[in-house]
Amino acid sequence: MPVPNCELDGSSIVLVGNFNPAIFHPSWLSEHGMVREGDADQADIQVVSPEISSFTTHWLLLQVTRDKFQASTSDPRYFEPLRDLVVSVFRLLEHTPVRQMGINRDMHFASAIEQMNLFGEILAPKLIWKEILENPLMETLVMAAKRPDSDGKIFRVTIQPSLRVVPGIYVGTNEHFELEKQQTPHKILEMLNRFWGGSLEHAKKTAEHLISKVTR
Amino acid sequence: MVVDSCRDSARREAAPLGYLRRLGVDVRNRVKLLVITHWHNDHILGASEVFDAAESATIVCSGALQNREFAELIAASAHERLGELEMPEFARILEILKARKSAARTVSVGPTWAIEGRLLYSRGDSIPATVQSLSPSDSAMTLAHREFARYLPKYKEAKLTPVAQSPNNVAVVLWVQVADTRILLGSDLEESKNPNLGWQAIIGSKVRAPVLAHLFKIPHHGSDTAHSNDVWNQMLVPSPVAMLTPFIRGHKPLPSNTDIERIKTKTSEVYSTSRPGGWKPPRRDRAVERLVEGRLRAMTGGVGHVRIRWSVGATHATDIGLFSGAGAL
Amino acid sequence: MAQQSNPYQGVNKVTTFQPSLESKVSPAGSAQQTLLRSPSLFPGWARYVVAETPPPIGDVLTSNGNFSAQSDSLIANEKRAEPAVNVYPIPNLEPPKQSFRLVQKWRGTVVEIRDAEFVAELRDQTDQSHPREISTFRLDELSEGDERLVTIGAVFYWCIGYELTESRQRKLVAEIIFRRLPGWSRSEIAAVQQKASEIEELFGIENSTRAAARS
Repeated sequence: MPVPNCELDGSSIVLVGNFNPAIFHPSWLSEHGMVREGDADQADIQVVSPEISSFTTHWLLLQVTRDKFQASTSDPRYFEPLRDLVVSVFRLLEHTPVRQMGINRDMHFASAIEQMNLFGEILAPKLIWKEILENPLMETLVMAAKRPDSDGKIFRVTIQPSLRVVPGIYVGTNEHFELEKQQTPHKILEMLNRFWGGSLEHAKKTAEHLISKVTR
Repeated sequence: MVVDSCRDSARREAAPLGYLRRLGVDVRNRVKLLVITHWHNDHILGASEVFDAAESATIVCSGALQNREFAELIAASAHERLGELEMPEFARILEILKARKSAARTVSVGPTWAIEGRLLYSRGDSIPATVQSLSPSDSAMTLAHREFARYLPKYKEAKLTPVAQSPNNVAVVLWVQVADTRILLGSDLEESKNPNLGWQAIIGSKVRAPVLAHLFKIPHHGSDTAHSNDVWNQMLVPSPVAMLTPFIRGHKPLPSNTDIERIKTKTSEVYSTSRPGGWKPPRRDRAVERLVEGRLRAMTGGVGHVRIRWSVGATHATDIGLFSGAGAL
Repeated sequence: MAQQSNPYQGVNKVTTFQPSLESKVSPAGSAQQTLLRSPSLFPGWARYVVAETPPPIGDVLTSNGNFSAQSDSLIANEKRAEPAVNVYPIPNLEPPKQSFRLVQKWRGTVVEIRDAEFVAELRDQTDQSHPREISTFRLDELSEGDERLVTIGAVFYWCIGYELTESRQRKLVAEIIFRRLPGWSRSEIAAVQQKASEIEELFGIENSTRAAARS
């Protein structure tokens, strides 16, 4: 069976802390050189308010609430610009209290139904389930471990049938970073710069390792 | 002694480390000196790995780096990962130094700084050996500040990656003597019209011994900007054994055909770690290759190897081995 | 107590996050968490509302979206307690309809600038075992406004891959994306200088006052 192709590949960076959503507007980003003027001009703004700001450009999804900042892209050309954007934002907003960070990657692989069934059987053998359930299927599997050489607290891998690439397999990763107490973004940005690349690389390797099992 | 480093990407290791280990050398205890002749990426990649393994080694850096500006450059490059390859290598070397400092509980285990005329190593046993740095000169060290200054952080200015500029006035040239055999390692030092810089400063130096070298590592990939007739006439025996490493500078492969012809008028024995003229880029997805056809050139080839063995007391090299694409020019 | 309007007015207009793009910042159940997860009407989907303060203990979110106290409001002789919350629907963010499959990426550093072009050293990000490469790029290959970013030492990403448009057209495209970082701030410069002082100490370099003049 051929190796399933990664059809959709996205990444997001999420921070938990205390934010002021009203600041976040596409023009603010372009004024500070974080995105192209053209991108800001063409942005689709859903809302910008003291409670929540939410807009998209052709490559960026940005959503900020009082306690959460989330920047995402589903275009792998823009993985590094996404990281740079988050770094730039919080270099400027250097007094923003933050406490946690999540570095996430979402990959959707197109695969045949037979491959999905094989995959589900490898990850969650059905024998004991069939003793009590009729036609059991694996819907979600989450595994967690600490990534070596990383200050991340935990690295989680989620496997599900893909809802975007059908039929297909979704592999999502989340690496969680936490500070002892809420503080300025300096330390979190240091961790982002140091561990972002490795986290995304590990996500890809994990997905490829798992997906390769369905080519037997 | 290990002078500079590069990475063997096929073996995924620092080339000098792999080589010494395959020879059965006890790197931990037998490597006494690691010399980083300058900070450019074709001379430093893998150096931190070598230093980490060579626990008994003193690290030697160019005196031109012994200043606040270079310290700021390392610190600035670590910020937002601005540095490409060179600065992260220095940053790792610093971490090793720091760890050794806390283990040794001494005030400083910092590098030895190579400057014109400094004796870096001396051994007086049955096979006496010395290593002396012939550069950088005082003037070169002053000029080095200017090169670093353009990349130092200034309020509101753009964050840029340091890029090595020409000419290279700060590289460490080494004079090595083992018994009666003398070696001139030219690093990347370039020539200058200024008598206080580059090879002119070395020729005119009062601390240089008036003896001739038998073996010559040709500087700066054989380029004409590093050529000095005075060096060939006043520092080398007639027709010495010479070697060089090819490279690409901008779009210009070094050594050029003109460079090769010039070098061959100076010696009949010159070896290169790989065939000059630039290298084809690696194979990639066919669609990518169609799109970039002709645009790309690899800056280095594989890790070629020129091995010169010289018995003590011999008047010429006893064995010259050429491996992995190395050859005579 | 004045009757508050149903804080969930319009809640049925709240669209949902699809689980695959759901942000995942743990730990769940944190006392600081004010993002409330409502009972899902659709298995596998989640709805979120934003509350300024968590609802009082004992309030339960009913299936039609109204808070109600656990006490039986039909017989209690007091008005039903309304939660002190402000609720804002979180718009659904759909990824773009087109997708991009990356095949090759390089990180480039500008090393030379000529009239209408620049030379860059490239590091393969797709296969890091490949040697460094060098190439020339024309300024007219850049997106509008990016020419001003071309300077010695500037970093960019050169990406090649297949773009699948909304109309399902597949195209092989190459794009140059310059790295965008804000200029040095005073606090960043101070941090760099602090780090440089540590390096000086390790290197055994005497302190210099030159740095102060530059900032």
